[in-house]
Amino acid sequence: MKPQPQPQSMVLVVDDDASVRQAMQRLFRSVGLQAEVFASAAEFIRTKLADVPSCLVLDVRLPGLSGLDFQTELAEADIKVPIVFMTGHGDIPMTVKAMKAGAIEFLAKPFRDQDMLDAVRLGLERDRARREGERGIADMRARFATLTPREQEVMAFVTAGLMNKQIAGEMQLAEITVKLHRGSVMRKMGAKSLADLVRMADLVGIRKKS
Amino acid sequence: MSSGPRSILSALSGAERADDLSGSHHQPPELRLIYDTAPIGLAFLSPDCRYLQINQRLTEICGISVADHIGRSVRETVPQVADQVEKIVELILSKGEPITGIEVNGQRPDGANAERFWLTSWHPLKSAGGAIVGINVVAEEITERKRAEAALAASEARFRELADNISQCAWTADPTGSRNWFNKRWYEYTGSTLEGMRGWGWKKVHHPDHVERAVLGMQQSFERGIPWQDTHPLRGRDGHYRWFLSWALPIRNGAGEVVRWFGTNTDVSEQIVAEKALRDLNETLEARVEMESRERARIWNVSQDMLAVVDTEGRLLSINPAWTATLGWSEADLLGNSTEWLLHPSDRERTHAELVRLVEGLRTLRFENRLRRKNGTFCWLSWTAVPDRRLIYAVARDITELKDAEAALQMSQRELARVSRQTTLGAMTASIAHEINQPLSAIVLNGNAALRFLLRPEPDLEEVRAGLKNIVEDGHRASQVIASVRTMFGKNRPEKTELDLDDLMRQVFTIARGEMENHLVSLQIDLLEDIPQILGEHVPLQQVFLNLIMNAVEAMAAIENRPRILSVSSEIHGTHHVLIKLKDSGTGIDPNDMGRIFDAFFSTKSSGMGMGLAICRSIVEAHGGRLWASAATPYGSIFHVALPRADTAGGR
Repeated sequence: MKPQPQPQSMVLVVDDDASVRQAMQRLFRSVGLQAEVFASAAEFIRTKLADVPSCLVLDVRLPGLSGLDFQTELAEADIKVPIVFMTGHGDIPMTVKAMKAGAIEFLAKPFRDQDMLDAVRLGLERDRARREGERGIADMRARFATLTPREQEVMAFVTAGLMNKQIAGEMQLAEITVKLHRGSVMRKMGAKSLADLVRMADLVGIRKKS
Repeated sequence: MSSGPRSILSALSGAERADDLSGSHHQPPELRLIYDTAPIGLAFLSPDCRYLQINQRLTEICGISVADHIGRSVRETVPQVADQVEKIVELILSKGEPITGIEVNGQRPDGANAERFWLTSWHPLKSAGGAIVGINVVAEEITERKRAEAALAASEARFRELADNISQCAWTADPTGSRNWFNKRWYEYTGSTLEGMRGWGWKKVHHPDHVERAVLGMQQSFERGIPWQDTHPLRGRDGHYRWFLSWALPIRNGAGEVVRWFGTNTDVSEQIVAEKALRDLNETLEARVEMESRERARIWNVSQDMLAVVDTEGRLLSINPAWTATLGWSEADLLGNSTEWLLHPSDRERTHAELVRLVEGLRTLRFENRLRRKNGTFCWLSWTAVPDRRLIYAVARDITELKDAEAALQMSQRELARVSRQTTLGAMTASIAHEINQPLSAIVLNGNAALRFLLRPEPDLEEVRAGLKNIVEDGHRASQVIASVRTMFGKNRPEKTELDLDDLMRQVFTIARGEMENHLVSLQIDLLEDIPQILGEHVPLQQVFLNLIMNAVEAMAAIENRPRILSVSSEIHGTHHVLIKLKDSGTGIDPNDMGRIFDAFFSTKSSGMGMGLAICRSIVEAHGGRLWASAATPYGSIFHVALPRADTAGGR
């Protein structure tokens, strides 16, 4: 059933009932969403997931590890996939606990199909944004790594708001040398302006407090 | 009647010859009269001891007349004294000096009278030449005095004998108190001598601690002439002291003057020792009593139990420190008042009734109530109390922790009942709900998905077909779940045995007791004696009754204006059944709901699946019995459970 090309997104369904799994998959397919289904948390963990924006739809009542415990376990493993819970018979404390732990939605079976689709779309959107944010930081870290130690030092001083002359004094270099390093930093980091470079320094986490 | 006065006179006037001195006819008669009647004996002897003169008084010695004496020798007239007289005369003649104050004694020759004594004086009469011509004799009879002296001596001797042989010490003192005699016992005891003891010397045998008092007392006594008495230790010859009771009495003469003091010292050591032993005994008795009192006070003070003396009005007359320790109120807060103001409102009536019982003389062996602590919380106390002469002696023990433990036990009993219920009905209903919910969810999802495929600009009929196929499958599956539930509570029940309904009900009451007490529900049991046995399964029937009781308890939970009573009774129902009726005083069943309460998923409660009564009915009907409800009057409802009798139902 899995298509060969890398999908845009993936819905992951964990439910112990085969009929429900099949029906869920059909519902998502009807709106053009790709869904992968699992009978248990254990099966989910064993599977290598596609590196695309994803949303997990989880039945609270699962054989073995419960849905809520599974949520905790994922958070501890730093797997930040958004979760939509389903339950046959939920109570308020359980709902509150799940929502507090960051669940997108808590739906009681049988639910309205639109409620489920809305929740899953919200989850996918959040995961996409998160992934983009993470990718931006990773790029910037990679670019920062290409700087020489001198350039990295210059970048720290520049983004802390120091003038070239001050930096030259701090680093005991000629002002002209500082200017050269600075140009090289702007180029290597792909910064369009000083403000751009300051934002990058913040994301990389090297900016000194002035 | 010739006599000597004349010759005496002539001798005194200086006669020179003895011849001149003889004869009495020269004497004037008045002198002769004096000479003869003088109360003393007078005679004038010649140097050879012949009477020249003698007076009447002296002749009485021998009874010979005056005249017959003259010229006769002393030896002739009074031979009994002749030896003595001749010796005296001889002495005078040789020395020429007078002899005075010499005693002469003797008896009359006929022995007719007792011995007589004379105190005599002898004076020589000398001639101008110095030769002794005669001797003048003056004799005073002292026989009476001698006798008196002898009698006195005898009396004295008897006194000494007596005084020396009494067991007491005795002494005499002169009027000033200076002691001059001690009896033998005194010397024997003290080992002293008169020389050492004389005057105030006796002080040295007195105990130093007591001598001052004794001396002072005695001096006062002597000055005022009144008897003296004291008890003090006196040192014996062995150096040890013994206790003596000492007396001194004034001895007075006829004029009432004190002539001497007579004292005694009586050894009273034995009595003193006995007294001391008695006193010691009393003192140790006192000490023992004191110790016991102290111990009792200690018990009173250190007791963890609250001890109190209470009057018949319930007022606290005396309380121990445990009261403050337990309740936090000070003694001042508590004393003089009853505990009324501290009583838990729910305990007031019972407490009053208990006090009345006590006042009537009955003991309280176990009574529990609650008193408010100063911090506002209530303390459970267990009392024992005994009335005694218009007072009540009460002991209370803080059993709050015990009560808490009891409450915890009840809680766990309730929990057990709850769990017991949940693990059967609760779990069953949850499980059934899940089993039905899953296919239903799948049906809804497939329906929705099929609709979406159908509504596409180019409907995907293959997906619609597959979805509808799944819907049909899940519909059957749901139906199977319900069928299997029916089966579970329906037919083919195994293991039906003869059950004692009475036992079964009592087990149920035990499990439900905690829950009933917690909700202040009183249970009234009116079960038929010798109820016929029923045919059935123990556990499911137990669940039925437990469920019905819990429903009743919940139905009464909101009732505040009337007692919460659950009455359980049994009776024979027709020929084949036994009927158990459970009647509550709760809110009752809305007549509109009466027909639906046994339907599955019907519930008037905020929590609950609405499966309890449905399952109960299934179980009862599976036993060939019936379960129904009716309204009770004036309020509440009755659940009727009819179960087949083992003896007449034929083992269905």
